[in-house]
Amino acid sequence: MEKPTYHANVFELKKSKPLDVYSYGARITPAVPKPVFVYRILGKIARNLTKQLATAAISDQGKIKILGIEIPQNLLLHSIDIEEFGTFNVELLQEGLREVGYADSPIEYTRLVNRIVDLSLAYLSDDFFKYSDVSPWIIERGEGYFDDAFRATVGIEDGRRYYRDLREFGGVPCLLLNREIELRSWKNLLNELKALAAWWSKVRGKPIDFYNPPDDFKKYVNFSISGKSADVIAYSSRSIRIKEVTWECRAKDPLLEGGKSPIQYHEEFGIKNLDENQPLVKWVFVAEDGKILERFHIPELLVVGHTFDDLSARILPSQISQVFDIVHPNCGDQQRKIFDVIKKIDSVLRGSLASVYPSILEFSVIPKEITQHTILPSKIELTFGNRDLSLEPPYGLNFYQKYGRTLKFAKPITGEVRTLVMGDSSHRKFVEQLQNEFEVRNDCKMNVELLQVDPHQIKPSQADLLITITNENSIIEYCKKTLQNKHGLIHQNVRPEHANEDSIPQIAMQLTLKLGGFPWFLKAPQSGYHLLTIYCYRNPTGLRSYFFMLMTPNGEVLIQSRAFDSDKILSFLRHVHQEAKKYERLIVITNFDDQAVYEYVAKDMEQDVAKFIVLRVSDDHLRMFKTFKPTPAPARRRRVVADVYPVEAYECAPQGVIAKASRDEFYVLTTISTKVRTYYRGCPTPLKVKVIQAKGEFDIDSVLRHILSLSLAAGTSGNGTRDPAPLYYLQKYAAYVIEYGEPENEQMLRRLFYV
Amino acid sequence: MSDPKERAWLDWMNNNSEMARKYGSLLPQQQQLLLTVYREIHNSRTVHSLAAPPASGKTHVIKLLCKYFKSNSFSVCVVIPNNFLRAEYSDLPDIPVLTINQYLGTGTQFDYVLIDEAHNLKSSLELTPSLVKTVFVDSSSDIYAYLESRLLPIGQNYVAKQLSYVTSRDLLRLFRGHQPLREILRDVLRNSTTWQCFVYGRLGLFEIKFAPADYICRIQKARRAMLLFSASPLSGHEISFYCGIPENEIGQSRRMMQPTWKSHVMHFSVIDQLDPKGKFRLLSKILGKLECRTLVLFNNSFTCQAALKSLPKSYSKRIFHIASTERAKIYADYLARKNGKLLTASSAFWEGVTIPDLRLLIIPDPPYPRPTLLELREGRKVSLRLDVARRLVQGIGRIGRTSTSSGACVTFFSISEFVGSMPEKHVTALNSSKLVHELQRALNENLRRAP
Repeated sequence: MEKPTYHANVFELKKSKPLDVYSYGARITPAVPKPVFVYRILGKIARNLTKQLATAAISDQGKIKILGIEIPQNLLLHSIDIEEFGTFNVELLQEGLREVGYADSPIEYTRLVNRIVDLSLAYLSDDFFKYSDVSPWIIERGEGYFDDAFRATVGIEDGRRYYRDLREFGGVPCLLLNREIELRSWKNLLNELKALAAWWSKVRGKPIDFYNPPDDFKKYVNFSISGKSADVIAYSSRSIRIKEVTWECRAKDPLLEGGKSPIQYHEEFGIKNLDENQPLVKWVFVAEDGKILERFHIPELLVVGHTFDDLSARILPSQISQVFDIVHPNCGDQQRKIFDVIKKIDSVLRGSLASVYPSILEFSVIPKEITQHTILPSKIELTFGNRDLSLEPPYGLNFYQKYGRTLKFAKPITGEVRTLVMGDSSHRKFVEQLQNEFEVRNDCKMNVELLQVDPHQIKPSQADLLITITNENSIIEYCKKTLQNKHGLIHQNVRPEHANEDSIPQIAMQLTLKLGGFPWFLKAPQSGYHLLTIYCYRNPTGLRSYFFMLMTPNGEVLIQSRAFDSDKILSFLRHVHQEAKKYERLIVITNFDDQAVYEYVAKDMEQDVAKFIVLRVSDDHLRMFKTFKPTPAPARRRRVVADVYPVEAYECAPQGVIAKASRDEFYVLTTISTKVRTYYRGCPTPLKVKVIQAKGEFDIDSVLRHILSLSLAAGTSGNGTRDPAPLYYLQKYAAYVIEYGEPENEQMLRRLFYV
Repeated sequence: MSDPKERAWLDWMNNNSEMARKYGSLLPQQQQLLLTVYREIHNSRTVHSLAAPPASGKTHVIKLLCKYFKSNSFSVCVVIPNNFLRAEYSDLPDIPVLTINQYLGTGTQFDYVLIDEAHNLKSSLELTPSLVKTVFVDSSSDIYAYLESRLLPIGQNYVAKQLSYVTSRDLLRLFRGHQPLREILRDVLRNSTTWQCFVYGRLGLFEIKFAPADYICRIQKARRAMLLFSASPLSGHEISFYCGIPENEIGQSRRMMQPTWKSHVMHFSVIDQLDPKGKFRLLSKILGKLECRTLVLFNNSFTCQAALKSLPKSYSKRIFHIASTERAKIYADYLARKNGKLLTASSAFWEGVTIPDLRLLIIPDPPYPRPTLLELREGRKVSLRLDVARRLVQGIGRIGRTSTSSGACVTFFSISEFVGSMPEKHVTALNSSKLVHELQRALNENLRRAP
């Protein structure tokens, strides 16, 4: 009935001849007051030259690089006006000619092609712009999908941005173009804060003075904004991480060196008419000497990135569906928009960069079909205590619903579990159902006592398990930090709104994991290798913490480490080595890009581990689409009903498909389009798996299938997870450590106490 | 029935019913319905969806209830889905009879609200311009080509679905450039995230609808009880979506047994593959030769208009056309004339309206599928073919509504392609050349047989 083909958002380079790159230095008179002016001046010259010479002229690291032709004599001298700072004379001095080909210099070639794409959209078209030349993102101008009334209410607007880069697919360089939706402050952060104040006033029923707001509003703002990344909209700059929004000091206050205010500082650069009384953003960065420094920034010059969760707190339930459509567009919408942009790039380059495009460089405007590079989805088998379950793709959601009443967990909890539940009498039915579910799935007796006491009165020796049903963060914090971390009393909190029948299977699974059991295992994993996972958590200031975990091939966690800060990396790696050498065959999964660590790990294991493969699992911007062939209208006399698809697209993300991009790069699509209410929406991206190093021969197909099946190994909810189980667990572990600290009790490290 | 209060309730109804006085008692279905009403209005819920099969005497029950509530000093009103039903309540002079639109506009809160043919609430509310904004784009429009390429699946000639918000915003941007459309969609353009977009489209015509995202309207609730009577009662979920009433406030009665009777309607199906002009010629021939009350149901207003133009001018006195204005007046004129011929594409006539003494029903083309907005919103995999069959059966059901009615129904297409079998109905398939003769014979025979 339908014959799927797979294609991706990559566009093959039909022509990729070597590019002749003429490089020019610049002599600028008078001397520029700050180095940043060099980039502004050269950027302007590059844009002028691009238009005048119909070729790509790029400002790159203090030089002008020009493709294909030399700059004629009459264009070597330029006079550039920088508002408020006068005119600068620039003389371009030729430094040399270099031929850059993809085969010999793939990184340089990629950079040039990327800049050509940037030129086509950000400089030769009015519809796009970039915050910074080095950023891989091109932002689409114009109205988003949120209407004005909505923006004014939530203070957030939606933007579309496009990622561009080169990727190799089947040995051929291809342009990857991805579309993403970003949520950001409406106009600027100050405007967003004002909208937030208006919304706050409306919800609370009394107006507030934005410039002198009550403490609970300040608290709410910092709860919403702190830790987020902000881009500077007024000039090209790297993004910052917000620590706090403070009303203690204002934009007019003399906070900077020499007694300048942030307003005065920016006026020197021609940025005027800013609100003097606006609060300030405090941000931190790590200096080259390792010191953490605090700085102030002006909200009116910043836009903050947001998530759907931030937004959903500010919108009506009836709007969630529409907003979800924007934030997670379906595959059809994504694809259509990407095609529109690739066609635009193609037409702009044909019209404006005729000397380069299409004579030297040309890419297809038809997405590359990758069917021949894919491994089709296979079934994943899980084993429980008394039966096996085979899941066919799409692996679906909530497969625990197939359990049946008699199913037992693979590694059940045995004996007696003394359980204290802190809740009121309205939760009695929920607790009874939970107890019943837990006992049915495990081989234990759960002795439950429902209490209405202050958790401070609980003695850890009283119970093996503490369940709280509360929204009070202080109670949760006490239970985690004191009772669980210090005294080893396993704690599970259930939000009151989730204390219902629907949540019971998931909570029973989590309790089982926390108490040392496992709901299910993978059955006969294809590779049969143990899994060593090294996870790096990077906090908002850029500091890193490292964790590792050892897992059996079928998904049972054997060991998990404590957190190691980056200054103890050697000690961490020694621990990794000590554990790794106990096993002969290992798959090493990492989530970070650090060649030094890779080499250290590989060198250590080279002698002690017979066979190992180091993989880096990361997110990427490639999208895979499965295209349906809609069935033509059936003959009238046949009793066949034409297919009706739930969305207007004919594409979906093909869960379970593995694509081989190159010899050492693969894509694994572990997740299904998100299901909201009854229709599928969203267009998930696959995981990128890069082979870093290997010792011994490997059947890479079985390794990749093992990685894929690990997305169903996390027994936390009965759903698949985007990341393979060990990475997923370590992410949760890191988040727990950041929020509640590490457990002192060694026994806890053998359990998944944080799920 | 052992409860003395229930017995007293039924006794009151029997004593005050003209029909009971004439025939000795109310029909068993009416008594059952009245008992259900009694039990429903004495539970804690405020909205009750009641099943009352066709020809079960539902209208009489509603009138009796009105009398009862009025005599007990309660304020009461009857709500009808469209003006065509108004005539049936002409003998209730002191009870307000409001169309659904009038009821939505009234600021009065009644103690009891009785809604007749409640299943029509769905289409009625969906067609209310102030609630659901609808724009039509036909092939003469400069944006039609875009809609066809974007919305109509390759290889299919019909589409009905909810659009993603991204697509709906793309359409809104397109519509913004067209003054008439911009005017219709003013509210949507202002606050688009509170609306959801649906499309019903086929080659040549697209109907784009924007409906409120949470519920179609928040209907004025009754102080004591709102009773919704229907042969196919609305579910709590439907009432919640269309009327904005929480499901936990809605009571649902069990379905009643359908009364058994057999009408004297003969069914004919033309097996010629007639083109539109051929159908118009055949229609003109039938309307010219047969003098009886006739209803011609078209599947869209454009064909209806074209058919009207194709008819000889000499027919004009007998032909009535339900257009967008003066619908109630035209319908009343049609009913006043014994041999009137009504041409319409109105969905109210496809399902809902009962035309007294209708003798001939003509359906030139099968209806288009029309899943409700709720079905589309929930992404139910609506079978378009089954939906056509359902609507066709509803359309055919306009004739032979009672055990005493007789007449003929003719479709200008092979009905078996859409409806596999029609229980209790024998369909004669024949060529168009024989149709008029056979129809004449059938109608004469029916006349003789009719009581």
